[in-house]
Amino acid sequence: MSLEVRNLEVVRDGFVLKADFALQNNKILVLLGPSGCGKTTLLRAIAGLEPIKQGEILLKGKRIDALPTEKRHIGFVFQDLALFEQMKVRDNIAYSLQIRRENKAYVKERIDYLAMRFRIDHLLERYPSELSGGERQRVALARALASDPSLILLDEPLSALDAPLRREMRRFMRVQLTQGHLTAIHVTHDVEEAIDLADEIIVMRNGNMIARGTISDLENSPGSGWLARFMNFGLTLHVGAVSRAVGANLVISHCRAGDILYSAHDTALDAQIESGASYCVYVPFSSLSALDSKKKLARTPGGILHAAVVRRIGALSGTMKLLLSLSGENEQFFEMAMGDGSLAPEEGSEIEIEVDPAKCQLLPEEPRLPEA
Amino acid sequence: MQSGNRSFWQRLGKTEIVLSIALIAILSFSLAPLVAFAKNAIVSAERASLLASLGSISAPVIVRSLQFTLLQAFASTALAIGIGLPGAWLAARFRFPGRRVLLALAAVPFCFPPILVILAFILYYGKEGYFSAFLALVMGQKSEYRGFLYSFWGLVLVHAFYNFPIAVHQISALWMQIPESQKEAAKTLGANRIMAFRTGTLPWLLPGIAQAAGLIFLYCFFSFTTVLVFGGRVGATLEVSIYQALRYQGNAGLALLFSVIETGFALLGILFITGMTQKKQHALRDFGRRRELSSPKGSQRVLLAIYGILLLIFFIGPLVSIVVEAFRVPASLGGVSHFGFGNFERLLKGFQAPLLKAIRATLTLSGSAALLATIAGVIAGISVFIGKKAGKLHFAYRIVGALQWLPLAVSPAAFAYGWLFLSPDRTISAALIAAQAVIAWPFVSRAVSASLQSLDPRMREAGRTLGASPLRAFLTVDLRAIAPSVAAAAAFAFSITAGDVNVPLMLGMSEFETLPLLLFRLTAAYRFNEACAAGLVLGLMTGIVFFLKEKAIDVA
Repeated sequence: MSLEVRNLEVVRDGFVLKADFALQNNKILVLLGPSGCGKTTLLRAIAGLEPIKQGEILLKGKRIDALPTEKRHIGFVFQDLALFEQMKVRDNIAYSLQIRRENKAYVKERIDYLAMRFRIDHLLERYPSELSGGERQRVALARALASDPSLILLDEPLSALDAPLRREMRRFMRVQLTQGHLTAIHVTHDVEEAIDLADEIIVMRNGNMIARGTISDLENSPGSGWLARFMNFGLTLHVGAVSRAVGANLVISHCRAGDILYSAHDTALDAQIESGASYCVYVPFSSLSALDSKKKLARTPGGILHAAVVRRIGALSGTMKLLLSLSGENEQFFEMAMGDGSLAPEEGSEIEIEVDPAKCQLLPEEPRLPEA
Repeated sequence: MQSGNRSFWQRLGKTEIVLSIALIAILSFSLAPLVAFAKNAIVSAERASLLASLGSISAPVIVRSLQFTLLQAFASTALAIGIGLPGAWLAARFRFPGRRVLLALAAVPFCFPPILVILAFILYYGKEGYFSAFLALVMGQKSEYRGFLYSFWGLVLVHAFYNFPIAVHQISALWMQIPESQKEAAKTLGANRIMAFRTGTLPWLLPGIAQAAGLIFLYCFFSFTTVLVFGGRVGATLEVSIYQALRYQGNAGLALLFSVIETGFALLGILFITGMTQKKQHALRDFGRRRELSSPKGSQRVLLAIYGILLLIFFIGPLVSIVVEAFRVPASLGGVSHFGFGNFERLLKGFQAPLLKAIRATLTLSGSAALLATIAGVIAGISVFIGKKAGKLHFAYRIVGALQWLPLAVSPAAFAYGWLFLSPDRTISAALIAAQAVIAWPFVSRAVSASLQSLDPRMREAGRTLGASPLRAFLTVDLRAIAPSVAAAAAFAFSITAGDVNVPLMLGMSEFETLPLLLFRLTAAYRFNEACAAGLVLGLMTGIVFFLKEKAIDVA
């Protein structure tokens, strides 16, 4: 393991952050969550910028939680990048090497190597204020990597960029981190960014780690309606009542959008449902298919949802996407590919959508917190 | 030519024509006394031979005065920054009881006139002062430090204590804006605490420190009353030399020469301040939200406590002694001193009963000066704002913009005497009102134009989209939004004119006695307790505006 965070607790102005995880060498972990969930605090605690109340942090098997920031040898890219505006790009990159009293020839060699790798060799004599947003990002990354740290922490460094540049930069970063065999933790609230960058994702909420895995792990078992919605994995339908199909391990959830019949994977849910907790049916987008008139006759027993067509979004290739609104469910909009655009229904009309019951799950609305 | 004229006038709107006329009036109002002062100096010198008049004073006198002025200003500034920096750091970093009070102390140099602070220092650090008595008790020997207050370093100490709150206020405001991320970035790159501070904080802080130092330097450079009282034995600043040349030597030519030298150096100082301000603003441009204050821990608490105690002993102590002495009625023959309203009664009912007259004179004269300054300042401030925005009449607006620095560049004596020469029958009260108004209007103007510039233009645009004409949008949105700043600026104008002792002393007023003059006379006559009583009234008058209008501190 490259990094181990054991039983960590950070308390700050009444906010409590708890974390426990390990990260393998050469892997990119993404901490994902809404604003204020504690992901930046966790990153800062690992870097020694935030005091911890309890727990251990080990880097390459060595405890570092008692060391001051400057002794941890962890690269950090800040949200505002924090480039030293009074220094040229060259001096920004050389900073950590000069502090470590590396010899001049090595410093020059390292700067030239990083400048070439990050395509900033033509910018070395400029000041940060003379750079564009993307160039600043590359300089910040090069600076953080200059002294060859054991771990690199990236605190939403792309948040200030516009959408196309952000997409380009995160792919550039992914390539650089992979090719450099680097171990990194990247913080973001952008699901698309997490999908592009992560080997593994930890989702955080209210100071807790509520889910962990690859993107497909999370999609298969989101664990809560909140996570399924946050990650935009599928529909989450409010459950009005639950009944059982006679003589079978099948559950019928009575939703406003229609009744959904599915196989209950977790029979222990029954007791919890009876306890009055709020539940929803998670219907992954991959379980949905639009019905045509022929199919209507041979409908499967999973369930049918009724949705209104809000917009038809055509593409040059002739394919069509529909923006749909679920009848009876407040504010649930979703997209669905229709293949051949010529068959797509008109805007304002209603369509029926078939649900594959094998893929549906009954989930608690709120995520379960890890055991204390 | 004709078509050029036509297009010029066509380019101007009605508002701009009105404002331009007002600007010309303000320009004349500010520059006329300086012309009159110079003209009178040259003409009177002609009568007495200009060269002979100047030659009567040898060059070393001028050099000595300049040297002393610069030396005491540098030393005072260095000490003020030295005392202010720890306070700025504490106020920018920590949440603690008394933090707001520490920042509000910045008002002291503005709302408490120098003469009041001088009195406080005499009462506290003087030969028979509380602090001296305490030292005598501890050390047993009085002679070593008794004359300290009246030495060069005594003067420096008074200046430093008088001005350090400016450093606290200015520097902490900037420090709070500097994001921690630069310092933290340096740490993650391997820098220790000192190195991280040098890389991540100091480069942004330096322009702010330099700007505060520049301001304090200028205030000390123009120091008059404090030097008159404490520096008499060790030297005279240029300002005191001007006073002496005018009042005791009747040498207007020499006074003009001193004034020109003074203004020359002050302009260098202003150039430095504006340069630093631009640097500071450039740095601030990229900063995001203000950093959050934290609660002090461990050694930080100890530092905070030490700073607080030192502040209480050395700075608050003298101010409190004014209140104590105002109510301590000194022992009469065979009696003992006691606490009561005796000092106030003596000023209200005793010989000549000067207090009520002084209050009335101060309210009338300074009130008129402040009103005049506010009107002129608001018009000039709006004009500078409109001029900057529209880019029209660029030159005229730039001149008015530059004139806003007048009180920091020109000796008050020049304004006072200039207006005296311009006043019909040389009426001193008219000259006083006009001179004080000239000194005060730039503060109002700067506050107004800065407030207008800080307004979000979208507010006005929203007004326009809702149907308001440009003028109506300006009147109903902009002017209404800056009303608190105008009120604060007016309060500040009153505060500096009511507390001003320079101009009345320069004019040698005999027909009226304002509160600062009364205070000066009582202090000079060693009637300290009555002086404290009068000082308390003056302090309440000038200080209350700051309590009513917290924004006045920002204006200052």
